[in-house]
Amino acid sequence: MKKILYISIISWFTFSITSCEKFLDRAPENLELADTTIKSDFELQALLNGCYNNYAMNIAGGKIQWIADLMADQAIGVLFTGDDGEIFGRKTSIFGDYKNGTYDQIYSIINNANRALQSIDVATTTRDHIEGQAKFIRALAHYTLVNLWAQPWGYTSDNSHYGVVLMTESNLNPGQRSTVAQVYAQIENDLLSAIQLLNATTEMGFANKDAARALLAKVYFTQHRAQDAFNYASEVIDNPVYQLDADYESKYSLDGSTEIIFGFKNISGAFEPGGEFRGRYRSDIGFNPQSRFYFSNVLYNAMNSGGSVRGAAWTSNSLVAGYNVLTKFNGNFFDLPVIGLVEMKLIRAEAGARVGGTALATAIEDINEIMTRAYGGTGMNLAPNTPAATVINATRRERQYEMIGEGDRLYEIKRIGSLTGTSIDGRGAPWNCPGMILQFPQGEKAAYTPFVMNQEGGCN
Amino acid sequence: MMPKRMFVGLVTWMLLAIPIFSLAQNKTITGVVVDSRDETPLAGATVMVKGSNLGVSTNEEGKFSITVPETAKTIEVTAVNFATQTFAVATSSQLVIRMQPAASDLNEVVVVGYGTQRRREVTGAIAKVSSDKLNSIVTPSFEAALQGKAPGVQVIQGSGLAGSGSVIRIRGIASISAGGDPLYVIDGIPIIADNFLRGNGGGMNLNPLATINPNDIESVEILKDAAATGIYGSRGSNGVILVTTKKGKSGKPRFNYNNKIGFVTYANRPDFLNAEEWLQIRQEAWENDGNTGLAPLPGTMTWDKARQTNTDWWKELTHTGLVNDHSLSVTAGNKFAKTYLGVAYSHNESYIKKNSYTRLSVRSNTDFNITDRFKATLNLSYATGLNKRVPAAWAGGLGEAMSTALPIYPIKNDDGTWFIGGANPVKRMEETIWRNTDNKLIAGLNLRYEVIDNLFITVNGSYDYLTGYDDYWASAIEEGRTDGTGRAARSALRGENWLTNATANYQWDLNDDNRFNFLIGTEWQEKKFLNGFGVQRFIDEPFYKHKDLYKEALDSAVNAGNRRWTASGAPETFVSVFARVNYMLKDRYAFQASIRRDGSSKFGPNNKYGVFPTVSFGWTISEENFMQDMLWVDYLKFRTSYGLTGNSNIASGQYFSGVSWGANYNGLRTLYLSTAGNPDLKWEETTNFDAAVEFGLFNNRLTGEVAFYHKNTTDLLLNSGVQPSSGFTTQMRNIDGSRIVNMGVELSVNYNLIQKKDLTLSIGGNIAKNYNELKSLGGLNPDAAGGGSNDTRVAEGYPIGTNYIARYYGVDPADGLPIWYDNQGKLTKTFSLDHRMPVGSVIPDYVGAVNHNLRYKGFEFTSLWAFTIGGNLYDGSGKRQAGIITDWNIRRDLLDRWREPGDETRFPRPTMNTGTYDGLSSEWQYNSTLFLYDASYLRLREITLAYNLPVRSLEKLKLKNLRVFVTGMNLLTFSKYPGGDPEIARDFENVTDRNMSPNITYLTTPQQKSVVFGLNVNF
Repeated sequence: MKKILYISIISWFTFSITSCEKFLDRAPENLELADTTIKSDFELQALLNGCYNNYAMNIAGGKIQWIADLMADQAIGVLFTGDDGEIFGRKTSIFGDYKNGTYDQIYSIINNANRALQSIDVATTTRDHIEGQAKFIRALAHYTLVNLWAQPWGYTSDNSHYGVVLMTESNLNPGQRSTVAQVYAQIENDLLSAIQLLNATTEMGFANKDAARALLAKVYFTQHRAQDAFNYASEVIDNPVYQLDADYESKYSLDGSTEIIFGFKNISGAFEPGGEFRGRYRSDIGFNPQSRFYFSNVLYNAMNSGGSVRGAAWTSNSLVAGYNVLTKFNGNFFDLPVIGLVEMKLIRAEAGARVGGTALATAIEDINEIMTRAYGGTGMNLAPNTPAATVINATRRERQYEMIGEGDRLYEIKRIGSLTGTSIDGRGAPWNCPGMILQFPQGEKAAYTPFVMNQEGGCN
Repeated sequence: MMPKRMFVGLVTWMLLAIPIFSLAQNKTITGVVVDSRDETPLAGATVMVKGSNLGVSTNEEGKFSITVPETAKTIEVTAVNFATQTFAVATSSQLVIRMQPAASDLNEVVVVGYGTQRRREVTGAIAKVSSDKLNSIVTPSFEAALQGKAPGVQVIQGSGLAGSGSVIRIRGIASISAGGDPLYVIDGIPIIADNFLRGNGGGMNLNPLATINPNDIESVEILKDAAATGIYGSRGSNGVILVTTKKGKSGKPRFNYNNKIGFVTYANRPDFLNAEEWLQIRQEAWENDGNTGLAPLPGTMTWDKARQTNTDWWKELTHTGLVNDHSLSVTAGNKFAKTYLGVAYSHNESYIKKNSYTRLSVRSNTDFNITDRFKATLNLSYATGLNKRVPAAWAGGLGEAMSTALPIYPIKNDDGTWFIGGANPVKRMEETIWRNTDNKLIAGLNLRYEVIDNLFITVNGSYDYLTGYDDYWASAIEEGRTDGTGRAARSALRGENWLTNATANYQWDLNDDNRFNFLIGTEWQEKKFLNGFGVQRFIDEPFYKHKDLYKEALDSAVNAGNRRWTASGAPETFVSVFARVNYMLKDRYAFQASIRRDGSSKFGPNNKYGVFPTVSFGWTISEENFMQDMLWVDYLKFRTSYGLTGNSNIASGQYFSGVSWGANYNGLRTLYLSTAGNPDLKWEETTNFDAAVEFGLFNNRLTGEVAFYHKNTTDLLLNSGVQPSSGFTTQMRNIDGSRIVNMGVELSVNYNLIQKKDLTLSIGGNIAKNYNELKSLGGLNPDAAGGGSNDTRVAEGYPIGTNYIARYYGVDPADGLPIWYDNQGKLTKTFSLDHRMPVGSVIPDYVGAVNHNLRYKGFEFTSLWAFTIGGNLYDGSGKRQAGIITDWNIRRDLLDRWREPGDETRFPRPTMNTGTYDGLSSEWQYNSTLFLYDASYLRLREITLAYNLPVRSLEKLKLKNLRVFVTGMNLLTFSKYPGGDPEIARDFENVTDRNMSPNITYLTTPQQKSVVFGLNVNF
């Protein structure tokens, strides 16, 4: 009897203490439930801070610039191998971690921004600014994607060709790609809305009205909407906060640039963006022609002609024997510009020349301002009555030199190609050949069979 | 328990017998019973007059005194786990009886989950590996020594790096995204054994098991089937490795000292072209591409400089490593307490310069006999493991010597500065310091109270604690900084694992024929990991030399709003109840049923608890009356089991749809959507059938076991297959309708060829065949499961880890270009990833080992040969070492290439342009059967020559036992793979890769080869 009693007590004890839901329902300490955590402006802003951080560190810190420069025509890639070689060869495949990782990160930024928008109702005092930032970030991310993973605006007359997957809400089943027209429409809507919602001024590293205007000017310029691009570029340029730097060393420096409209501030030891720029373009330390940017004598000579201050400041043919390299990024740390005044002026110069009239005069002023600085005087400047076509040519030339190493050239090849029908690709490929855009990661098709992949190769 | 009636009867009989004995002439025999291996006394051994019921037990010091009648002729001594010994009653009365371990003893104690069983009661598949077999060689970690020692247990040593972990697969692989590793339980504590605590930095894993001193281990039991692992419920599917540490023994203090000193080098070295040959192939490729003049060289090299250089990077990075291992233990005990105390120092250098693992450990295991009914055990162990690290594989170091560190690159420039125009692993080795320190504490207190006769309540509390520091320092030169200071970085991690369980165990012997053993229990466990905030400072020495600066850096980071410690994932919790019933009928029919219910923080709210029942049966046929005439059969047992087990080897809390806080941005908090969430998340479920025959024949000269198993795993966990445009690349989920089958046969035998007093010879071995097939993956595409970096996939109808690559036909002799099969089997000269097919498997057909053991007087000569037969080995780096000539080294066997029309060669014409091979996008995608090899190999895993000094000469030295030996490990390897070492586990990148990575090599550090001299003394 005693035994039965003992055994019963033990059994009861054993089975009664074993359902402690709290003990079993343990979220990671640094992970909180999305629904319960996001409850005020603070968390919404934190979501967006995550977007900025990710964009600075993993996308714009040199990575998308490097991908674009590999695909363009300035870098010499004879020794590039692996992912670099594949991208340089304009024949990316379903694999390739460098490219695919970039893609994944951009979408995780969009996802963060979408989550902030979905919960916007919890915001109070800074609701508009938060919504504006989220839309700016989403537009920036979609624009980055559509530039690299889809044929450009104008590839088809109605832009009904496939763009990228448009994500306007956080969900696990994105499905098919949207058309380029749809993607651009979304980008435009987001930016127009962001301009309304954003604060006029912010610290560097956060979107404000000018950042959204500047991005919209770029978008319109890509869409060949010269007047719109001109207008929005003007709105930014007219803000006296932005001034051309006195010298070329300032653009990639600490606290030295007054040109940055949207960019990221280096905080020593805590936030040091631009690592991939230093890893891919830097020439004073660790240069290796197999993994870094160098270019032809033709381009070197062109950049250094006419007594160019710019060429002297940003290029060298002696730092590394036998190689023409950039010195633009030769710093341990720097603030990271993403959209700057020079680009706005270059956009306005070309757009203005295309619009004509008073806009042409503004365009000439803009390009002259850039050339005055570049050549250390007015010797190369255009006359006030220079024809539009000459202004456009000069602007495109200067743009090539001003934006070297910033991944701009690829988009210029495509933009000019779709605008004029002529390919300016120095490697002789059509501006719209299949390999001029990146292949999607295999993950898209593996998880969603109808996903339309890009055609591979076929450029050179 | 002896039934009361029987006890009364026995006492009465003994009382009646006294007068008889007193009438006879008696004599008293005294002696001591000891373990022949280390001369420790054996308490509780039974000393009996053969053919009578007269007997005594040895006391705590192993001593006995028995008074026997004049007529007694033979005395029989029995002890659990030892072979019975008989000796003639002699005139000498001071006897030392040295007991030999039993080969197959029905009373052998086998450790099982939450208890022990006698061999005759065991119904599950359990392989036992004893301490001496674990310590026979020096391995980076104790589990590597299990290789070849148990059938159906595939052990692939991670690599030749110091402290490296092993991949252990028990009866195949049944998971894709969930861990396939067995559960490690040390003295009842499922311990922290995760190899990924520090990710995969440096191209190697870090192995917490390396902190365990193998000399402290008494035995390792490997539980394989449902009957054995079912009591571990949702953690049983991958098998369980039970490690039991040594216990204190009775008597005066007895010491054991163990020393090993040896030398380590590589088991295998791939053969690469020298500078001149490399340049020649480079030039050939350049000219093949239609170019003239000299080919451009990588690394800012000029041809003149390249021609003058011929660096042997492998030689520069390697040396003969030194092994120096000391272990001292003492056991002592009286009737109140018995204790084991072990201290050890082990310094194990690998053959790579600046790479070593040094362990300092101390363990104390004490059993307290508080009252007759109340006993306690306190086990404490503490170890510090210092891993001096070097990067390997893809991360550099020796990996670079096999890839991008070209023979044309000098180590230093003419001006004495480091060459930095290309890979320079020597510079990195000299300009950096990297080490990890792991401190591991395991403490366990066990209280056992016998409430009433044979009802034991046991309460266990244990704590397993790990702290680790990763210290890295790089000079300014290495960092590419111009301000002259180096960079020190330090990060910490912490693992906490506590467990408490309570069991009630009632042994009820209804009568001699019907014995029951009931066990019920409950267990709570929580395991959590924390990452310390990683800091860096620009200083000239590592942080471990400047702890004040570390503290300062950490404090300032914390003051800036960062967390000192951040949880790495969710705490892992389990709450379980379990029960087991054993019923022994007539000492030969054993029945067992067990059930466990597990709740865990790993499972989603819709599937919070899993229930895992098992049933099993064992029949010791040799105990049957009808077998008594078959004298050649000493032991024959049939056992079978069926049951359900689970695999929950995934990170905790993944069912939450969550956000996580990240590092500050512009001084402000950041928040990220981190997990997609899945409320239905649960374990993988395996139904497990096992049937086996164990035998001992011809006076136990031939012993062994044949087993068959069938495992059906469903609800496979997959952590991929999500469209990346969702913003998530992963979501852990159970795939509907998914299923993997593992089935196989295992055979192990041992044959004692010669059994003489001074000469014994036995040979033995084991072999296992596992058939593995993914029956269904719910219709997902082979690429959906990932595994990309290993070029292996999971495809329905094929094994896990199928080589999914393009098929190579050969070279077109006309132009030297490669010819492929398309996915229809037609020949094509266009390479395409769409032509990938399942063509090979990383799982071998057979895994096993053969051993021999020869003893002549004091000499012992033993060997163990490990082998695998069948399966494929994929050389993931070969694609960079042949064909497209880049900045990689070229392996000599890949030189069989096309040079001119008409050449029939294995490899196509070299080129520097991927475009030459139509359709190929990059060197990375050049995966094909061109680099697929037969994975079979045979390796002399261990060979030992030992000498045990004669007892007589020892007595003068006051020693009880002295053994000297020399052991070689991996001295010989036979393989068809030309590229290096055939025993491969790729660098453990993630769980999926680990499941699919055996036999995929990618610059993998070859295994080590060693010769070790040893000394073992008992005194």
